[in-house]
Amino acid sequence: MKRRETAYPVLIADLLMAKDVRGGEDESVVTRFETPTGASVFRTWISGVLMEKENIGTEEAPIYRMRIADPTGGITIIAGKFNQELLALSGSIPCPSFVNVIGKVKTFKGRGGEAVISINPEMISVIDRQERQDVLLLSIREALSRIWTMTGRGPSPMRSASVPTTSSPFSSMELEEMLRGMMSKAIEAYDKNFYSAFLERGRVEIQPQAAEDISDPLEGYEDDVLDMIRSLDSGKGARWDSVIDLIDRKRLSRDIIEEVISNLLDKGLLYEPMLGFLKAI
Amino acid sequence: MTDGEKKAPDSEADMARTETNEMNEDGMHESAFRMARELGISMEEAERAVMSRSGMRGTQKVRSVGSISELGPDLRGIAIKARVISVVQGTRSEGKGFYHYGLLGDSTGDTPFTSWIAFPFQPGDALLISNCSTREYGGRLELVIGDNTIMDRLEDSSNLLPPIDDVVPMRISELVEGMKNVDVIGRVDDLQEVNIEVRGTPRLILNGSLLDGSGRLGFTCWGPIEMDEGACYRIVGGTVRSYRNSLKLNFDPGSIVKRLPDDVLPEMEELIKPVPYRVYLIGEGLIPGPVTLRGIALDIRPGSGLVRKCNECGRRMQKGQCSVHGRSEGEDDLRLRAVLDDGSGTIMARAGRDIVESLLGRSMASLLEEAKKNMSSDFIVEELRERLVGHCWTISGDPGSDDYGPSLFVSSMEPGLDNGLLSEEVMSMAEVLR
Repeated sequence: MKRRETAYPVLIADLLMAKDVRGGEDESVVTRFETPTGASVFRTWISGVLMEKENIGTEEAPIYRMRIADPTGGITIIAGKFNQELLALSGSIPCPSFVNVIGKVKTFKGRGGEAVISINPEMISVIDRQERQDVLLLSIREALSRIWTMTGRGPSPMRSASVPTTSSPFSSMELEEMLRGMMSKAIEAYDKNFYSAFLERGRVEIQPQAAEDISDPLEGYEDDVLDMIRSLDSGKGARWDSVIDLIDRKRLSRDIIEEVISNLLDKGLLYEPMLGFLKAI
Repeated sequence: MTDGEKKAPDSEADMARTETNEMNEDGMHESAFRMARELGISMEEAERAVMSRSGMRGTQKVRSVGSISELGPDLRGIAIKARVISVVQGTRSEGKGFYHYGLLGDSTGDTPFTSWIAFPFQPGDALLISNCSTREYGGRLELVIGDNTIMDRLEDSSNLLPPIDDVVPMRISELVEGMKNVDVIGRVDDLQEVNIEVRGTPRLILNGSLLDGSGRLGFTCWGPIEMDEGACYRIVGGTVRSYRNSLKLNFDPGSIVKRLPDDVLPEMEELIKPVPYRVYLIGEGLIPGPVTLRGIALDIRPGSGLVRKCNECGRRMQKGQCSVHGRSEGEDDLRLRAVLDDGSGTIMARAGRDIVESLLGRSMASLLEEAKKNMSSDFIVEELRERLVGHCWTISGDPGSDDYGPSLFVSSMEPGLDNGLLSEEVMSMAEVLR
């Protein structure tokens, strides 16, 4: 059975920069859009403010053009005659209101002939401020989690925040910089205090790493890893996967840890009493 | 190359003559090797041919097989070292006495065995089994212990499967379908004795589930056994099967079932506490214990609202029929089947009367009354749709999976997305913006 396409929560700026990938390897006729943060989207879930609403049809057969905005940008969507229920609802929503929009991503030709990204709405619902804040934070989490994975850090440190991503890494530094800008904007708009705490946390965690960069960048982790293995060791050695698990929580990538452990094994500071177990000497 | 070798392929008589001249074992080996090379056949085939041509049959000497993984079908007179993993006494057909069957293992693998002679050993014993044979039975390889087999208890078992206390059991989340001889620990929940009938004979079996913090695993023990709900056990020798789309552990009373001190695992309340999770991870077949999912409700599916449930099994009846128990009276119940999308996948959330009543803020009695007045219960579904669809929910419960994808049996349902946890998750990725 064909599964229903997931509605990926995205920030509007991320969606507007998406590129369409027609067909694809699995020969599906579905047109998917790949956003710069690494979401492969067919159906999407955006949340924002309904800013403008205009009837571009007639009095009898209305078609509503609506502008939805979030902290990163705005998108135009059109509710037409093919979804009567939605059309009736669209007519009654006041501007401005907070809304959830779910729909399929599509493109239309702009005035200059360029392809503009839009959404074919399947569902619009009016929400309150608290729910809107929740969805904004959810979209931020998803985007951060994708960026986290796309920048080679492995899956998100908390499993409940991990997301599927496309495989292609970021093409340029400029793009990465732009995405950082987008994330900053979104988080700052979510909550100013939260934003400064977020920046603070990022800075604190980077500092020790920066200091150790002068020598062998991996050597600095060796003591930490040894300590962890000792603390997990209940006599038979520490399970390899629980070591990885613990270190995941410290937000180092798996590659780094594997490298550090293999260095320690080479140096004779660690040994494997059994396959899958590590013991410090 | 010698002249003889050059001639060999076109002169079978030549080859046969050479073979009879070389009756000693080394010579036979050599001619088999030559034959294998020149005719392009396998060494075993060539050896067989050489032996039969020289009128000899393969010698029947006791061969020591290094490990269980080296066992093949139809071996005779082999000797092997192994540890007993499980042993069960079975009754021979037509009630003529008993036999034993179970599992033997070493560090390379495990194999089922049947013993047709006395088997005075317990799970955990290390044995040297000489002059046994193998056969294929019911599509799998089996070691047969017969009248001529000699079994000795081994003191030195260094190369065998290590004793149970030196092995670290697997986590429930590490199990996959088809695993045999698994070794898990868990706290027992939902324990119930069930009387079933196996090929006409009544049998008492135990059903329950194990929790170890990494997941929940249903189990069936195919015989009566001393077990307490809420206690911790280690079970060695079971098989992991897929049953109704979730993993299940099957084991015999002859497997190692060892009660562990209560403090090896967290308390039950801790173990059944739902963990925050993502739908797409459930779709990948890894089914953990209770989970919390956060997402948007997209639809209310048919089967929601006021339904009739079967008196016997509680399944929803369609047109007065239960799919298992047929036509019956049935009783009223409230159900919810909602599609939830958490941004990584969609899941069918199923909830019962309690959840529906609390979502609508009304009791079933008052809903029934209104349904009677309206001559229709559609308003309940409409109210649920109004309240749920398009809004964010945090739901907890036990996940499962069926032909239509993953599903969740809801134990609690709250509006919103758990802002506190979201903040924590976002914070954990702070280094992205350095």
